[in-house]
Amino acid sequence: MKTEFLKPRFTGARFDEHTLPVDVARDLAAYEELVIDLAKHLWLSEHPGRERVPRGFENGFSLHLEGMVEDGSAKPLLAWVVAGALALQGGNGGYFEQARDLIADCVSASAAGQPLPARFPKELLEHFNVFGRSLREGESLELPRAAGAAQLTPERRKQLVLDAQRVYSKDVELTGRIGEIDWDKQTFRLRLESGTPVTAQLPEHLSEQARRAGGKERTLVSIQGVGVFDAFDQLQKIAETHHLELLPNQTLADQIEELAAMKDGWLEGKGRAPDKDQLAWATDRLVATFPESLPFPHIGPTPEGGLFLEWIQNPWRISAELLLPSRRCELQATNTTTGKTVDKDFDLDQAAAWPELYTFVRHHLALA
Amino acid sequence: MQATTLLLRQVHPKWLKDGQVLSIAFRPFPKDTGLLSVYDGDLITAEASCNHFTGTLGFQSAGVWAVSVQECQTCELPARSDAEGHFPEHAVIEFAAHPEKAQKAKSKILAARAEERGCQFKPAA
Repeated sequence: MKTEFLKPRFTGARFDEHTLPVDVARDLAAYEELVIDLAKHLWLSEHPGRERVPRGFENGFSLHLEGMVEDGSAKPLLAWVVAGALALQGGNGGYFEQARDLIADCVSASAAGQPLPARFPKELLEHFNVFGRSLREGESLELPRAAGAAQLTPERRKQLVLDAQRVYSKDVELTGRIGEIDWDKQTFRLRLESGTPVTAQLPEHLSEQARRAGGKERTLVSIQGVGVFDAFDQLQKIAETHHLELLPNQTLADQIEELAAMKDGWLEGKGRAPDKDQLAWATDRLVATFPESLPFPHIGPTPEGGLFLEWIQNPWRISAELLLPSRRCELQATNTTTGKTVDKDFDLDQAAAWPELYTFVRHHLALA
Repeated sequence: MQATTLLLRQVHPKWLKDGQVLSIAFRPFPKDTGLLSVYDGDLITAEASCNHFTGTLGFQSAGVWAVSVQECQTCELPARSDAEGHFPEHAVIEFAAHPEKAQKAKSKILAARAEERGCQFKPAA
C-alpha cells in the first residue's frame, strides 16, 4: 500500500533544472530517520510506563522517492509505503504523520525566532546535523504545513543543532598538508593553508594515500568530508573523511597556472601569452618529476610565450628557459661574481631530459 | 652620463617573484634589437620614471631597479642616451654586440647587481 506522505520543495540554483542532485538523497534518508525517531518519542510520551515501542513499530513505515511532481520545480514526492500485512495492522500510522507535522513546526518556529514546540525533544535536534546538510548557501528546503511552508536553510539548520549542543556538522572541502598520522586512533593531523591544525578521521581505504602525503611539505591534500564546527563557525575537527586527493608540488603548479590567464600584448603591448595547452603540459611534467630535495624555482613568462624558471643562490643564477611549443630547454648557470657561465640545451620530449635538468641545477646550487 | 649614473629599469610584475627580480627583466626583448630600455637616473628620479612609465606610457611596473653605467661597462655593455624618437630621459644598454647566450648571461649579472643595490622605487599596490 502506498500513501503520499510529503512533497518537500528544494530551491536554489542547483535545483533550477527541476532535478535533485544525488547527494540530496542523503538528506531525505536522514529525514526518514528523524520521522521514525520522533514518532517513537511521541508514542512513548503517550504511553507512560512503557520503555519501548511495540515490536515492529517502524517496520510499518518506509519512505520511497516516487518522482518529481506538479509544477516542475525540484519537488520530490515522498510516498509512505507499507507492506501488505502491516498495512492491515494499523494503529501507529498517526504517530508518523504527527512527527512529519512536528518537524515542520520545529523548523518554522526556529525561522520565526520562537521557542521550539514543547513536544519536540532537544536530543533529536542532532538529526539536523545530517538532514539538510547538503544544502548550500542560497538554497533551502521547504516543508509544507497548514500554516505556511517551513523553510530550512543552512543557517537555520546550524541554529537548530546548536540549540541542543555546542557543535554542529557540515560538509567541507579543505586543502592542507598532512603533518602526522596516528595509526592507532586512525586519525591524521591536517595543517590547513591558513596554518591552523585540525584532526581528521582517517578511514582504512584512504590510509595509503595519507601515508604517501604524510610529512611532505610540498604535497598538499584536498579532502572532502564532514567538519564539526562550534557556534562561532570555528572548525573543531573533521569527523568524516570521504575523499582525499594528493596534490604534489602544488605550489609549483599554482605558479605556472597563474600564467594561464595572461593575454597577448602583456609586455608593453607586445609579448605573447603562453599557450594554455602547452602550459598544462609543462605543469604536468614539472609536477610529476620535480625532486623533493630541490628548491622550487621562481617562474615567469618569456616574451615569446615560453616559461622562464630561475634559481637564485648567490653568486649563482641558474635559469631553465622552456621554449614552447618546440619543447626545447635552454639551461644556463652564471656565476654573477666571476661571470663564469655554463650552457646546456636539450629536447624536453626525451625521457632523460627532466632528470638531466634537475641534476644540472642541483650541481650549480651546490657550488654556491 | 657618468660612470656612476644609475640606469633605471622598470620591472614587469610577472618578473618579480617573492621580492626577487628575475634576470629576464634585464634582457632586451626580441623587438628591441639588442637594446635594453632604461631611464637615465641623472635626468629623472626612480619615482618619476615609474610614474612616466605607468602613467604616460600606460605600461605595467612592479618597481624600479638600477644598475650603474660602470657595472654595464664591466660586462662590456655600453650605455648611452637614446632620447631621439622617445623622450629626453630615455637611454639604452647595448647588448647587440654579443651572441644571444652571452646576452642572457650578462642579464643575470646585471640583475644580481640591481638586486644588491635594492629596489629604488616601488609603486603603491
